[in-house]
Amino acid sequence: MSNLAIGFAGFAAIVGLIGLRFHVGLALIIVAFTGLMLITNIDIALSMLRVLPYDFVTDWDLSAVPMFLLMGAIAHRSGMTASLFDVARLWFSRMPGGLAVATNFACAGFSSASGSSLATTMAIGRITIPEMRKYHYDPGLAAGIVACGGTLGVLIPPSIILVLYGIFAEVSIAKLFMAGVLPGLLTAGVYFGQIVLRCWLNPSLAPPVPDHPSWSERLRALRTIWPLPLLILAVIGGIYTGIATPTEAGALGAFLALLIALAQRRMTVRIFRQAARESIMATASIFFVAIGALLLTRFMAFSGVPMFLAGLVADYSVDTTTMILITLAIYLVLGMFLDPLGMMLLTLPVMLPMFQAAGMDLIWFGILMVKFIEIGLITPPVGLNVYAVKLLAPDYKLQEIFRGALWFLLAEILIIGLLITFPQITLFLPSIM
Amino acid sequence: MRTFLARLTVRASDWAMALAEIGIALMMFHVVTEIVSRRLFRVSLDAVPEIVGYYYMASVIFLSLAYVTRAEGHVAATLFTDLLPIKVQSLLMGIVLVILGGVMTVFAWQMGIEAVRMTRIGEFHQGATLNLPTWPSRWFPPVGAVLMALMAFLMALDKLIGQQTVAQVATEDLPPEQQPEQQEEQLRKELA
Amino acid sequence: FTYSSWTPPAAPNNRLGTVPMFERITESLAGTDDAMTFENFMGGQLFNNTTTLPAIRDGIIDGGVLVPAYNGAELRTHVTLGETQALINDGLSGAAAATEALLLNCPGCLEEYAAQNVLPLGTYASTPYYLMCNFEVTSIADLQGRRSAEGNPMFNRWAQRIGMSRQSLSPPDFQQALQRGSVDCVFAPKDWLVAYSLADAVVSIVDDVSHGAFSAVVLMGVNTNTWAGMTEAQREAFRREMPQAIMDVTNGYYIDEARGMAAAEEAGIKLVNLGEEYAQVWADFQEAERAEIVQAANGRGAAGAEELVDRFSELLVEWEGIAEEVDRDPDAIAERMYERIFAQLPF
Ligand code: NA
Ligand code: NA
Repeated sequence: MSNLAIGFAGFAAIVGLIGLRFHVGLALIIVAFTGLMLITNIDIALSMLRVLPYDFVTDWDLSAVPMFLLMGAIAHRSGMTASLFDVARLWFSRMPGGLAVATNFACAGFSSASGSSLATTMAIGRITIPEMRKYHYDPGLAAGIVACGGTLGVLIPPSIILVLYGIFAEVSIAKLFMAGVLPGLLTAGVYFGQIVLRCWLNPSLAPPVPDHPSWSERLRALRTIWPLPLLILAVIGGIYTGIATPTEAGALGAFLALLIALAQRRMTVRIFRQAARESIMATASIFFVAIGALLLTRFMAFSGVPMFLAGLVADYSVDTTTMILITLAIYLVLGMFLDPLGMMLLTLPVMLPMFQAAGMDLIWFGILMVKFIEIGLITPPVGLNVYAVKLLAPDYKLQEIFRGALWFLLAEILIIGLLITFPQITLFLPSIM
Repeated sequence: MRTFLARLTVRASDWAMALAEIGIALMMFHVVTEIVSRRLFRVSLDAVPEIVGYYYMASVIFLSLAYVTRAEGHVAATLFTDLLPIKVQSLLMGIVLVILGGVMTVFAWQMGIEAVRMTRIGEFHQGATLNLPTWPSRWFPPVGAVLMALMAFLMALDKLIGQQTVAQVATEDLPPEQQPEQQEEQLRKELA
Repeated sequence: FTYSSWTPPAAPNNRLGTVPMFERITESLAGTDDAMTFENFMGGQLFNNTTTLPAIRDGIIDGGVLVPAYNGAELRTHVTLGETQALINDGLSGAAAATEALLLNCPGCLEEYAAQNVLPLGTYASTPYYLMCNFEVTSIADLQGRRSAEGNPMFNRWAQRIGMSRQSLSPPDFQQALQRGSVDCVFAPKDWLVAYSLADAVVSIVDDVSHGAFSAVVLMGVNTNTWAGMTEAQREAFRREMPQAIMDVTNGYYIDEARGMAAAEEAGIKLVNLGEEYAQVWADFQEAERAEIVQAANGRGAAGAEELVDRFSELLVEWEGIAEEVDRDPDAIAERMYERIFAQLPF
C-alpha cells in the first residue's frame, strides 16, 4: 500500500473503531500508531509516544482550559447561575429560545477575550447548559449553540489561530484581528436569526414564555444574577487592560468566582473539591482525545494526505472562486478527522504560495480559512467542540449534539457564501485602520 | 485477590485524583499571585508558565486518567452499539477496555523510559533567575498511565465476567446534571 | 532524508537556508550513486522547539533545527555559547565564530550532542536585538519602572540594570502584550517588526545601541546513524553546503531587518538615540556579562565555561576582521568558513 492509501485507510479505520464504541481518544491513538508503524517502523511509532504527549500536556497556553472550566464549575456549584434562566425568561420574554439566544451572545462576548474556541465552549457551556437542561430545552439546540458558539472564539479577536496564521503568512496580526470582527459579528447574528426562527416555528425546542413581566420583576431578577455578568466582564476587562494575558485570564476568572462565592457564603471545601474534580475530569477527557488527535496529525504528515489534498486545489481550479470552493471541500474532509491547528500546519505550506500566486488578499483568505477549519470542530466523527459539550452534558447523546450542530453548519454555509461574495465584509475594517 | 487488587487500584486512583485537585488549585493561586505581584509590586515571579505547564498541568491530566476511566468519563459514541443486546454490549466494552489497558501499558512503558532518562540527566528549565528542575514531572505520565491501564484491565474483567469489583465513582463528584435531583436539593439546603 | 523545523516556511532558515540547500545537494548528486532526496517538514508540522532533539535522537527524523536553551539539561555546555549574546555585535561574524567554536573548540558540546545521537553541523545567527517600546522613549530615565518582555536570562539581567521589571513571554505574544500594555517594551530583532507584527504596536525603537545577536541556532542537527550511513560524497556535499546555508540564512535576517525597518517607517515608528549614557551602561554590562555567563554555566554544571567564552571572544574578533576584509560579503565569508572550519572536520 502506498503511504497515501494508508492515510486514507486510517480515516476509514477511525470511523469503524468509533462506531464500535472505542473511546474516541483510544481510536485515534490506535489508528495513528498503526499508521506510523506501517509507514515508518515500530521504533519510530513508539518514540512518538515518548516524545509528544508529555510535551503537549505541559503546554502553558492550554492551562486556560482547566481554569475556565473551574470558573464555570465554581459559578454553577455555588448557585451563581441558578436564576440565569429566570433572567433570560424575564428579559427575553418575547423572544423564542431566550436562553439559547443569551448563550449565543455570551459566547460572542466571551470570544472577544478568549483566544480559543475550546475555552469559549467550555466556559460558557458549563454555565448555560445545566440551566437549559433544567428548563427542557431541546438537547440538540442547547448543545449545538454551545459547540458552535465556541467557534466564534477564533474569529472575534483575540485569536490564537489568527496569530499563528499571521506569523505564517507574514501579514499584520492587527489587520487580521480587525478583519475578523465583522465576520464574527455576522456569524453571531446569523446564529441568532437561526435560533429565533427555529424556536418560533417549533416551540417545543425551547419552552415558550407566555407572561409579560413588568420592569420591576425584570430588575428584581437581575439582583440575584449580577455576579455572573460581573465575573465575565472582569475577565474580559482583565485581558483588555493588559492586567492578564488570555491564558492567565482563566486563573483570574476562577479565582474571582471563588471570591464571589466566598463572599456570598456559598463555598465550602467540599464544594470546591467537587468543582475542581469535575473540571479535572473534563480536562483530562478532552486531552485524551487531543493526544490522539496530535498523534494522528503526525501520522497524516508522514502519509502526505493533507499535502496531496491541498495540491488538488491547483490542479482543478479554473478561477479564484472554484479555488476557494475546492479549498472549502478539502477542509471539510480533513476537518472531519483533524484538529484545526494540525490542519492549518499541514496545509498552509502548500496552500499559501498558491493563493499568493493567484493574487488573492491573504487577510481575506486567512479569515476564510479560519472559518473553514473551525467547521471541523463541529463535524463528525471527530469534533472537539462537540466532545467538549458531551463532557459538560454526559446525558446528551453524541449523535444528538452532532445533529444539533448541523443546523449551525447550514448557517455557516450561508455565512461563507456571504463572505466569498462580499470580500468587503472582511476587508472593510482593516482598510480603514 | 481480584477484589483486593480492585480495592487497591480504586484507592490509588482516589489519591492520584486528590493530587490532581491540589494541582488545579495551585495552578489558580500561583497564576493569580504572579498577576498581583507583577501588577502591584512590579516583581515578576520566575518561570510561572513552566511551573504551571510541567507540574500543575501534568499532574492534573495524567494523575486523573485512572479516575476518569473508572467514572467512564471518556468520550465515546454509542450510536450503533445501543442497538445491540445488553450481553453483546458488555462483551464489546470488555474487549475495548482490554485494548485500552494494553495501549496504556505501552504508554506507561515508553514514557517510563523517558522519565528514567530525564531523571538521570536531571532535566531542568532555564528560567530568568533559576534553573527549575523539570524531571520530577516526567513521572506523572508513566504513573498515571499505569494506574489507568490497571483500572481498564480490572473493569474489563468485571464486564466480561459480569461481576462488579471496581467501585463506582460517587455521583456527587460528577457534574450535577448526572446527579439525582434530590441530591442537588440537598446541596442547596446545606448551603442555605 | 527527513528534516523538521518549527519556524514558518517563510522564515529565512527555511526559505533561504534548508530549502535551497536541499535543492542544491539534490541537484549536485543527481544521477550518481549518491543521489539524495529530502522531505522538509516546516512550521512545526512534526516537532517543536523542545521535541526536535529527542525526535532526531530516536531517528524519527534525520535532521532538524535546534536551539540548545530548549534542551538545556542535555546541552548544558552549548547553552553557554548561546548565552554570549551580549558579546556579539554582528550576526555574520557571530554565526561564523559560533560555528567554529562549536565544531572545533568545544569537545564538550560535541560529546553532549553525541550522547543525544546528534551531530550538529553549525549555527546561524539572528540580527542584533533592539529595545522597542509602545511609548516614545526619550531618555534612559524613561525606562525606569517600565515593564519589559524577554525570552532569555541575559535580558532579565539587562532589564534589571536599567530599572525595568520583566515578564517572560514568547515572541508570538509580544504584539498583543505591547498593544494592551501588559508590557511597555520588548527586546527583539528588527525583522520581528514584520515577522511578529510588532510594527502594529511599537511606537519607538532605541536605534543607537543594539543588544547583541543570538548565534546558537543549530541549522542542521543530524542523527549520527544517518550520518554514518551516508556516503562520503553525500557527507562532503553537506560540509560544502552548510557554510553557504548558514551565511544565506544570517544574511537573510539582515534583508528581513531592512524590510522590518521599511515597515517601521511606514507605520511612523520613531527611531530614537539615547546617546552616550545608554551606550556606556550597555558597554559596562557587556563587560560584566562574561562573569555572569561563566557563573551560570557553573550553576548548570557545564565544564570549561571560562575557556570556552575566552576562546569564543578571540574567534569573534578574528571573524569580525575577516568580515571587514571581505566587505561583509556573505558568499566570501562562507568560502572562508569552509576552508577554516568545514574542511578541517574530523567527521
Ligand atoms: Na477570541
Ligand atoms: Na470534525
